[in-house]
Amino acid sequence: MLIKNFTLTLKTAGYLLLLLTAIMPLLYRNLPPKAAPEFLLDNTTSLNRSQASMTMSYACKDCLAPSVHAANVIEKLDGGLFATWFGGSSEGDKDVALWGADLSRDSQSWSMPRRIIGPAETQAALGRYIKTVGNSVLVRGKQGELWLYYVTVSMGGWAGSSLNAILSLDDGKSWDAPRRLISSPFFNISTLNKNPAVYYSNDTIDLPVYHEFIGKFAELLLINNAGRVVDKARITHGRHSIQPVVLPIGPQQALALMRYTGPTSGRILASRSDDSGQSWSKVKRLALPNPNSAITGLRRPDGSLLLVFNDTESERNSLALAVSRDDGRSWHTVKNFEKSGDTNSQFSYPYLIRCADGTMHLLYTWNRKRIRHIAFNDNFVDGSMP
Amino acid sequence: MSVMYNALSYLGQVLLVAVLATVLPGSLVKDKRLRISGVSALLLLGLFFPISGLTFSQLLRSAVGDLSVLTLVIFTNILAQRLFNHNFLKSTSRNSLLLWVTLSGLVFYPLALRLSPFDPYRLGYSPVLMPVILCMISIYSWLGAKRDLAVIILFPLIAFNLHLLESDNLWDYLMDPILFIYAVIHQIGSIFQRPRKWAQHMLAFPQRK
Repeated sequence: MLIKNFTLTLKTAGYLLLLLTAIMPLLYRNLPPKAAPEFLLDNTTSLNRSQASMTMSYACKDCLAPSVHAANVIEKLDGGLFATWFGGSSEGDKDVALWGADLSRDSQSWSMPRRIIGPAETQAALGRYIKTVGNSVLVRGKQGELWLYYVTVSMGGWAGSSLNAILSLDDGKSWDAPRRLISSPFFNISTLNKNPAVYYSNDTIDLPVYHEFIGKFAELLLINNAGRVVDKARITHGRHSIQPVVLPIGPQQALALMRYTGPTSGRILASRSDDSGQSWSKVKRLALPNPNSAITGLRRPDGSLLLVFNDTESERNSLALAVSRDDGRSWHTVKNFEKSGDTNSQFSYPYLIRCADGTMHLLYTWNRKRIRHIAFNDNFVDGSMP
Repeated sequence: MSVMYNALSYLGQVLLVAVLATVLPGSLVKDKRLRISGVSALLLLGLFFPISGLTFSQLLRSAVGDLSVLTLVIFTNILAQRLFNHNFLKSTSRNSLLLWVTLSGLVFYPLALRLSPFDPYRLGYSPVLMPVILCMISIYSWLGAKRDLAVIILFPLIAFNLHLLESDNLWDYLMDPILFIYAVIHQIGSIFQRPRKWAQHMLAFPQRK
């Protein structure tokens, strides 16, 4: 009897120890709940009021791959640019890899494209079958390190995609082994990225992502400076809104603009957040058209918002710039970067950044053959000012 | 730490291949030793024999990802049962666990995949509410004399604290689609088995008397 009681006490003590081991670290780490961080807004620099300028070139003219798409770009630590895109026989093929090139600040010319990573290297590192790679987004880390978040597909089409991260400590010259991000509970499939990350005051970032499996909807992945997902927020739900671009308009206010994938005549979709991206308003349709194509944008230091989009009802043969001075409530198309009468022309997947000197750099797919680079300043947007 | 989380991922692959391997010899081979040898041979093939550069277990991992901690527990129990006729999990505890997985999954997956603005998967990041609920269920099970279940429920929390899987989300330590599918099949199976058991019981009743 005594032995039985002793055994029971020992079992209970062991169980209580296990219980405390399970719960205490979690409560210690996660309590009290942390306040929502604030967006980092570029309010420190003024608009670049030098004479209006706009230069057009190609980030890759001879791209070393028959088909290229989905470029993104980031300012390097030396003031130059580094861009990546995917290229291969055609989108989704097994020979598609991520390519990159540098723009020298001094010579203002792009280097020859170099292969960054492809399915084989990713497969070897992850120990999983990788069929192809896709969209990528470059993110600057707290210590100046460079992260590249990119899409891979193991099975099926883009609906079967997952996100991966690689890190560079020498500004894109070399990269470490890829790591998979887990962002979906269903076989971790169907998370893709397209547009730039949003930075918070607490060194975390929000990576705008979207899903293309059962639903087509937009989300934000909150990622810490170790490249780990620490939270996520749903911007939309349903079946028709993807590829969000998130524009912070206040310390805790943001506007998300999205590509419309529905069957009816498309308009750019918009949603707002007043709590640092934790929750989002019901989606509204803007007056701007959207022929089921990607968009991009940014906020300038004066608070105005820029949006680059295909200003057509059904094709991608025109690429325009719109400005909003009322936090995205109304938009005015001010320029056309491309306008072709040939409906087979395709100017798509724009990606826009603003550098420290106030110059804005737009990269986009030019007929799937090249990556076009346009650099312009504030007076190009606003018209020449004295 | 990465060695540790890889270890759990590889254990998941080993168990998945082993459970699949037991299906064939388990049903065809009656002799216990032959059955264990057959499963071991298939397991070795699945883990080390590459097909187009990847082993069968890596191909499985490409498709299903890493298994949750509860799936590892259930699969280990299946293996112990099929190979050694031993259950370390009482059938009542296993049934309770699988019922919870079924009910949770029926709500969780549709919501997480698009159905509403509320995303339950989000609760698994930096979680507070989920661990508290799990601990309460565990204490309830302990007091209800389901001690095996009470302990097993704590395994995912401990594994999550130690970052033993790739994921930073507690849900991925608790369940995965493979476990959900298995749990649903188990529920359907038990629904069909119930009338048969009831009939057997009724037929057996006069004899007992």
